[in-house]
Amino acid sequence: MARSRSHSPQTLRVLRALASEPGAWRHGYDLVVSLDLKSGSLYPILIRLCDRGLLESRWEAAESGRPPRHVYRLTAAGAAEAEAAPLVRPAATGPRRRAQVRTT
Amino acid sequence: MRADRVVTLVASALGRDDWGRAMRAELAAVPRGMQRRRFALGCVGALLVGLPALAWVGLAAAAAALGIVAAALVRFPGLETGLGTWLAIGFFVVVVVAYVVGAAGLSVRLERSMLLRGAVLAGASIAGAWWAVGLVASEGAPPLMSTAMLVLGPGVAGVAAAWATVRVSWAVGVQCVGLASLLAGFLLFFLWGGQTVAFAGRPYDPGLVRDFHTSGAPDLATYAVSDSLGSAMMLLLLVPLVSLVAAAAGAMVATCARRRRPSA
Repeated sequence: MARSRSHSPQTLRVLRALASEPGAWRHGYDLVVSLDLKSGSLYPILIRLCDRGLLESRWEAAESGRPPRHVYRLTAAGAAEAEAAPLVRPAATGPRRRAQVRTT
Repeated sequence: MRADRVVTLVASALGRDDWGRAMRAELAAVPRGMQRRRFALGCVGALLVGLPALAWVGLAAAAAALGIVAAALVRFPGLETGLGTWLAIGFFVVVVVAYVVGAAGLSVRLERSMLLRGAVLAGASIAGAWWAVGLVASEGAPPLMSTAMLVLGPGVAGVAAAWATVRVSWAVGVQCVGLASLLAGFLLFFLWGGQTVAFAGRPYDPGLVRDFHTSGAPDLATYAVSDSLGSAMMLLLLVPLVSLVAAAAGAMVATCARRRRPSA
């Protein structure tokens, strides 16, 4: 059986956050806030996951006057990867998750 | 400059417009102030983190080029002759920065086409061809031979572009040689400029010595370094420009040949 590639603790947190709401589209900034990640850490992860086909993205129309936003969700392969991934150890997770922010 | 414009500018320069748009749209949702600036800074960092190794090679080459000029100014203070010197250095810095940005953007675009290795090979070949022309000329070869060899560098660029055009497309062919010629320009400047500063512009040929007496330069070494470094800077400009023209021609010929070939 093919083994999934090992992921960094931060990537695992992103995978798990996206897997916690299967099918739901998430904004980048929401992930930054809810996972307490810096944008400089989150975006390379999103880019890598998209390149590997684990994440899909689409443009979502925003409120008037604002540009359309990019939203992300796991593909079937990404969901399987999240399912197979080991649990993130508390030491690697950093500060406690903040409350889930608004979903615009 | 506004944070979102910086993100757009960097993303566009690096050929990551889609991610740049995504980040800019997110920025609009981030509260203004420090939080937005930090988010924007992180986005710029994220765009840079994913750069191919070749982009970093371009950055290192640029640092080396600037280092050579700085070393020349320190070792030969007579090179600084007033405003003209600083204007020339300012222009040189602008060219180097433009090359770094160009090399980074082209690396990202070519990484998708899997042609980075081809670009490196073409760059080394173009640099080698120009170096060979210089060697032949300095060894006192007949002028006709030196002139004939001038087609070598552009010829390599044209063939490389035609190869990449046949493999992928016209645009990719020109991009491939664009990156190759930027790398070749840096490599030639590194070799020529480094050698000039290290050996104080030696060897001094009779023509150089004759011109020195009427130049007003404080000493022969300073004059030789000034002359040689100026030539290296010209080469840094000339090699990419000439190579690009040859690449466009090579890519065009390959495109025409492809169109004429009957489809299987």
